[in-house]
Amino acid sequence: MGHASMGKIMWVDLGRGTIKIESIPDTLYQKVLSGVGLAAHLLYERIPSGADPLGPDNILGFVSGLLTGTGSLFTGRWMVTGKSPLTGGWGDANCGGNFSPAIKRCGVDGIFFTGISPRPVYLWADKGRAELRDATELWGRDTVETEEILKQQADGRGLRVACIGPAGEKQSLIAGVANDGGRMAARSGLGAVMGSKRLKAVALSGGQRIPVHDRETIKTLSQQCNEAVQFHPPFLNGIMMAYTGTLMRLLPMQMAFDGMLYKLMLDKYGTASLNQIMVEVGDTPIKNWKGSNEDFDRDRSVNLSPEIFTDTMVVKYHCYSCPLGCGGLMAKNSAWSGGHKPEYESVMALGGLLLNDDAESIYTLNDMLNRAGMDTISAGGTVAFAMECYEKGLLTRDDTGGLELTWGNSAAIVQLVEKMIRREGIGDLLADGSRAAAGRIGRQADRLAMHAGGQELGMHDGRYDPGFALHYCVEPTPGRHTIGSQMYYEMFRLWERVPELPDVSLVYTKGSKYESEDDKISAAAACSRFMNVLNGTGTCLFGAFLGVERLPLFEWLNAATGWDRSPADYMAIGERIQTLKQAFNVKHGVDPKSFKANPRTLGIPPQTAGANAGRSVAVDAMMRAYWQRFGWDPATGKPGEAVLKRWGIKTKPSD
Amino acid sequence: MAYKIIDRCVGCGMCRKICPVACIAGRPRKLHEVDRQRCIDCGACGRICPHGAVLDHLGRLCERIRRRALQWEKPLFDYERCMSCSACIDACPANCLAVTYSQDTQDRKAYPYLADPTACIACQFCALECPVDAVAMKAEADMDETQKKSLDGPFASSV
Ligand code: SF4
Ligand code: SF4
Ligand code: SF4
Repeated sequence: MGHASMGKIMWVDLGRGTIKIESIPDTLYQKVLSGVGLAAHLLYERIPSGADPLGPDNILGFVSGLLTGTGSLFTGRWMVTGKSPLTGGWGDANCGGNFSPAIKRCGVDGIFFTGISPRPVYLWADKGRAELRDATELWGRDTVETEEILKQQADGRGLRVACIGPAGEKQSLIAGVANDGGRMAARSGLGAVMGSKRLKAVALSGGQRIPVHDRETIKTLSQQCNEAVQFHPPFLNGIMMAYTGTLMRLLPMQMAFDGMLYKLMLDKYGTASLNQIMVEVGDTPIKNWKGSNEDFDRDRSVNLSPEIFTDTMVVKYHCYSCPLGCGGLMAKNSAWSGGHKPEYESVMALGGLLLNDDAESIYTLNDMLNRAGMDTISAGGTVAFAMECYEKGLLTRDDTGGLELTWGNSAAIVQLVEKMIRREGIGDLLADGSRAAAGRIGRQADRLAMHAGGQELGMHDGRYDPGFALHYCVEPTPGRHTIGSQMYYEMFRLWERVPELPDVSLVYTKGSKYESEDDKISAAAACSRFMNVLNGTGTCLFGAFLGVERLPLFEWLNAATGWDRSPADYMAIGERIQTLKQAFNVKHGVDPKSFKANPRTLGIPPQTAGANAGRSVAVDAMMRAYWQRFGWDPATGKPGEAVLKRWGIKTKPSD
Repeated sequence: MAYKIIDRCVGCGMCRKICPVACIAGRPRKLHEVDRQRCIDCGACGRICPHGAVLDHLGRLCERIRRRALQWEKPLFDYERCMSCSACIDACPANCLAVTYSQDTQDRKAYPYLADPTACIACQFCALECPVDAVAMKAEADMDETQKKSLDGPFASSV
């Protein structure tokens, strides 16, 4: 048996109610790692082409990471995987908390569900035993309640729960899977898949040890990494950061971003640190991507300042094995019963994107959505779409059931989201995201839906950092802000370990960001490959922002597994995983070109005001060059037989 | 690996009751048996067995350690070193660790502590898995007053 992995996975057939264990040879981990790689390998081969994402043939997988539980840091992330009902292709979503080690402590690296249960059930795994239990009593409950009830039944023992809320039960295509009190594996709509299977929750409490090859070396590396994390110089406050953002916007030059700076921001405020500074520089999309920082200036964004979201924080929240703790548990306030601090993505998708600067409403919305188990980004993106439809007369007061869907009308936003969660009236129209809603409205409403391949875009503007635009359009999971960008590449500092990769200059002109150059394509491809390694190992993106000299990912991997691989070897595994995911999409009839994001988000036509005025991203050329970099057909984005063979990927997976 | 019970076992059931993963089976007054697939080598059975009937994962006979005489080791946390990563809490097979924090919003750190001292089985997994070696194991009988107090967590002494 190998090290770091558990060497086994669990299969649960919900139709038959049976559970079995499958052994995984160490050679497979060597090819695809664990986590997303293992899931992509299995699901590519085993989900039949044309399978209905909400039907019995879809496979829903919960996977941990190869480094989770080995004594490495920032490695407590898990993923839910399956065929996405939102995009029709490969689906995955990532989350932290304490669920990732819980999977391995049950003696497996992943739990995979097939079929559809005749009645609501949850999986219970405790002390080496696993069974399906009736979930009739839990059906209809929100994610936080569900977890609390299951924990009470566990009698104080260390139970870890992942579950869906009402949104997943109602198969909203923008539903996610929650764990640890409403943290969300939100993207790709996999909560709907869980709902379609009538699987309410996965509740785990195992005590297995996680084998490691060389614990002493891992500890030494972890202690070095922790020293960088515990560096705490005096630091800027929120309003100073907002002015820094303004200054950054006005300067013609840009400085390469060092992850140490972002570490300080995350340490103090979590992702909420970005709330104002990113509006100021032009990274935050405003008013359904047609507005700019001028529509949401400092006087408005100050109402959503980092301090607003951290002043009532009671304690920092760390995911498993995290030395940083970007999360926070908050005291109760008038709008809200306490719980996890709202994240930047949620604040801006429900804030700036809707011209809403009412912080109370954002607390309320964030809590409602986390409890319902609905993606805050997609929910915000869909409300923004509805608001613009309302403005343009594509939706009327009759359609909205009397709601006045004007920009920034926070009371109406709350009521609309409530309807979406319940699938009531207009809420039913919107509960499957902006693309599906646009399809039902017709009359070219799709022009107002800011998605890529059906997935609402993250709150980072490709017109500010064209790297985001490219990854939104080109990834097998489109619309995702957590894979790559020019700024991410600067922070990852991969060239320090993989010498073939291009270094970045410390200072460059802003205009040069928009030129499609060879180095930028290399950087983007490297981000995708690296992110697959991170997601195969359960590593947090924010840890990776420290840069590979401070986050010794490759060194941890060798020490944990006992393998002797170079960073370039691991990056090659990342490339194999990327190809697997793309092959999955092709197998399921997805045209990679169709993932191109709404032209407005690419600056076509360019904006006339604000931080990104006059900018557009030549994304077609970049997409072709990116595909070519992976050896895929640059005209279609499809990996050919030769490249599949090169990576040992079956060219004709069963049906 | 895995622990093993030999025929000196009288079937008193002490090991079966303490095993944190419930992998020991046996009827009263009958020879008990360890499920070798599920045993996690925590050693609790070996420490508790009054009859010297347990072999450890390397085949050595385990020595009984007196629990009532406070000879079992318990975790002491170095809160300066601790980075609040909760790896120890997850590592604990007896689920006896938890986090605590003060209501004072100036101190926003989460501190692990031994929330259920009677459940602790002295396995040392918390100390082993702490990435920054912030956990030290010590028998309660050997602890000084400050150390004993600190078992109740960082805020106990200030109450
Ligand atoms: S060593 Fe621990 S896990 Fe193994 S049988 Fe003894 S008490 Fe149970
Ligand atoms: S020694 Fe540590 S890990 Fe073992 S039972 Fe006690 S607290 Fe838990
Ligand atoms: S494992 Fe160590 S650093 Fe992490 S919370 Fe426990 S004592 Fe603190």
